Amino acid sequence: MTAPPQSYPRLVWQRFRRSWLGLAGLAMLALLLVTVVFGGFLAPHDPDSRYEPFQPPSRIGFDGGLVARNPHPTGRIDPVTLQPILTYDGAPPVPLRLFAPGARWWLLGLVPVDRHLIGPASPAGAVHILGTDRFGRDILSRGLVAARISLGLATIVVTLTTLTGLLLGATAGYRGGAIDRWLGRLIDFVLAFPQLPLYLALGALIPITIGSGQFLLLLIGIMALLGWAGLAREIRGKTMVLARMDYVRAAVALGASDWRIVHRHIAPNLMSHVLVSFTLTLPAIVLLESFLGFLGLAVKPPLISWGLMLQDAGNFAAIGSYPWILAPVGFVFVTVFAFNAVGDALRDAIDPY
Amino acid sequence: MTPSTPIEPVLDVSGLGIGFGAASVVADVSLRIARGEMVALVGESGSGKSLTARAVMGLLPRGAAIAPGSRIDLGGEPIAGLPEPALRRLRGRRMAMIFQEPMSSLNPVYSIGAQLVEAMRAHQRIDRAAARARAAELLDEVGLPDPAATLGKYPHELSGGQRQRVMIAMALSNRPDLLIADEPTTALDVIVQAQILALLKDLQRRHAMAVLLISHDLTVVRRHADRVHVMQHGRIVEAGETAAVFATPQHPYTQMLLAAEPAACADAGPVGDTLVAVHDLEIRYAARASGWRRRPAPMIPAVAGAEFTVGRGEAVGIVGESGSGKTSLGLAVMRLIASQGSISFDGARLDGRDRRAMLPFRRRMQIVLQDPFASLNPRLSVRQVVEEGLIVNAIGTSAADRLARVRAALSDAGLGEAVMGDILSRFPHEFSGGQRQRLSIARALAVEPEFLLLDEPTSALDLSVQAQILALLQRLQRERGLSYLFISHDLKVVRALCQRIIVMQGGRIVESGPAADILANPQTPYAARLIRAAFDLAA
Repeated sequence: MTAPPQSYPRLVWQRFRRSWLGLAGLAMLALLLVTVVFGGFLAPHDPDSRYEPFQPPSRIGFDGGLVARNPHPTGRIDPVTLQPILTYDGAPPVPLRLFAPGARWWLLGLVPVDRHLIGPASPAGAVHILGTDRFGRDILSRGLVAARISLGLATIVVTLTTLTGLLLGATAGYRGGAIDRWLGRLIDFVLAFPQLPLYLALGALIPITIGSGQFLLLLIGIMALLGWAGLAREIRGKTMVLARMDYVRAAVALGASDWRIVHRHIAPNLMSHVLVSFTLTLPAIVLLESFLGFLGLAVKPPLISWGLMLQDAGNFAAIGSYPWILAPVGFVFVTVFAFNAVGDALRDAIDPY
Repeated sequence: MTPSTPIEPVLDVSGLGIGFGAASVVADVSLRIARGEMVALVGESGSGKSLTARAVMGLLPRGAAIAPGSRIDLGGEPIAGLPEPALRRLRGRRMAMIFQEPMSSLNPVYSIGAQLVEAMRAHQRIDRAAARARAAELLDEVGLPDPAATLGKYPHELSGGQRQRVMIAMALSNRPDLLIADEPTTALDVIVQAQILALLKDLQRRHAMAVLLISHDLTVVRRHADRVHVMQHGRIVEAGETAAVFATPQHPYTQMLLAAEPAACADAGPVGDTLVAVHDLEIRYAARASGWRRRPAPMIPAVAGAEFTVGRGEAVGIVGESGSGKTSLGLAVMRLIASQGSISFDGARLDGRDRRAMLPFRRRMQIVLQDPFASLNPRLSVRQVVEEGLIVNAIGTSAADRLARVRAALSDAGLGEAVMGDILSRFPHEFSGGQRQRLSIARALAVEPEFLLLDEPTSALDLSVQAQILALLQRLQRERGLSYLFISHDLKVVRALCQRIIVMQGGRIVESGPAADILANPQTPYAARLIRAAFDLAA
């Protein structure tokens, strides 16, 4: 009784701090958040401007200041692949500078800004740190700007699945009886579908003429429709356990209503589980989005997502000749790793009692 | 050492210390057990008695270590600090242990026979058939009926007492010199407890084993142990012949422990008119319903034909073994589970009312449940816990008024500011078991009830804490004229608190009447057995 009283979030944070992997994940999440808000600032170029198609990554060097060298054709052709052979030798240096003026981007969609963290000193220059894609667009810039759609889509999907799963799972677990039996069958039904073909089939049902915004909404809808069942089943089980706890019985004896029991006694004890599930499902959706994009079901241009960027990587000949087009995998990897590290550390920290 | 200790002890522990990292939890423990002797280690939870036993077995939990300088000799050979493989050869063969929980100590996927045979073949060169024959002998020895058939059974087919007998058979299978019994009967019913202890004592005499009995139950210790060691805060504060220690305890802690044993009888206070009356109450549980449509599931009767009254200001105890329906009966009176038959409270019929219609009665009748850890929501602060009843029953004119009532309830339950400081914003996990039980009582008291259902409110608590809670309940009864329906398996506690007793067996009330009459002159053999088991354990 001598220790000062500690609030629950404080206890969780104290235990979370012990996991360096969790802290690293948290730092990476902060960076991702910065990327979502300031993607246009971090990107050296406009994500839709076209340069040399399939240009390999620029080499960054030092020549009286930071410079980039872009490879240029030697005029010779590789006799096996029939690709022009490129060289960095003799390439004119492109001077770089911080806060370089460049293409206009919109801060939070409201404020026009034309500065970039780093970029060619003159707007005519080009620097492609991760190379360019088949239309000659800068992959780094596209990847940074795509964070907003990819993470936004995942966040909305996971919010929807979590809310649905929580609501249906808690209802089934608390009410029991016929409602529980029917919801249980519905959960089994959803989980029994072979998910991948279903995604592609539902994707194929979306009319091709639809606008990119509506397409995005439908994509979110499909993912949410197929994603809630697992969580609902877990929540149902946990609710059933909690509803039999003595403190719930004591609350009934005090005359508490069903609503009060659920939101006061059951929901708070489910929250830690929901929070962990949220942080662990979100990377799964990011992964799913990139995966479906690879298979052809991605957001429609002009929107950019990591999945869409990976669509180009579906062609093995292209990967062989231009391996840098796989660079969006790096973004997905960082995101998934960050969320999983935070989710794991959170799971260990969340029940300090 | 006392002169009764023979020359060559089986177990000789001296200067034993156990620490978790830098924190020392057990220090300077010395005890010797000779062949054919039963030595008891008593103390409250956290006193280090189980850790001491585990240290002897080499089964300390992760993070705990034996302090340098500790000596543990088994049959004259030092075993403290032996490497794990050497300890494993000793465990089971030279020393064996019986644990508290017979439900989880047996592997549910193997038959009893397979587990006994495995235990023997781990230490002896014996073929399967011989081991199986020996296993049947052992089961016969521990008093299990039809040993040959029991060998083929699985743990779930046996009762708790039978499982504990199997555990004893397993412990005996390699004829150990030393048997450690760590609270071997705590999880069992009173009558079964007495049987198991009698069995242990008998086996110990027959095999001339040394037995270390760990217990918090002084009645058990007094009856069975030759010598007793009393532990407090990781040290042995008193040791000696059992009879001598119980007759003239020297250390204040021992004196306190002995005084904490409920020995008094409740006074027959003034009893007013009838507050709760139950007539022909029947409770049936539906067997598991399954399938799509509601089919009439077979109903299993839990309580039948129950009939009793509780007067205003009266405490009525319900006693019986687990499964006798006493908790079901209590919950049905509170209308927390469905039942048939009539229940009336202060003249008004409660049966047939749904949850909404029960609301006016909720604040007048309250419950306190057994498990101090499960009965408080870990996410609510003390204030929120106690205030809940006030909010849902719209008691109190303002937030300030409610706060005053919360403070008053806490102080009534012995958790007032003067004792505990300001605890309103603390959370349940910061409190001990006894304090949590006081919180449960404060939650019930806040709505100023007239009737309390107490379902084993002290059975999870240490003896000294149990005495405090009982004193609190007696004071509340005296000062406020509260009525209690007190469910317990512990007749001593019931005797200390209740004016009348109801004895239940197999879902029926087999006997009821004034406490003094029933205790002195039980009419049914079942009640007589319960009383014998509780008060002298000679059942």
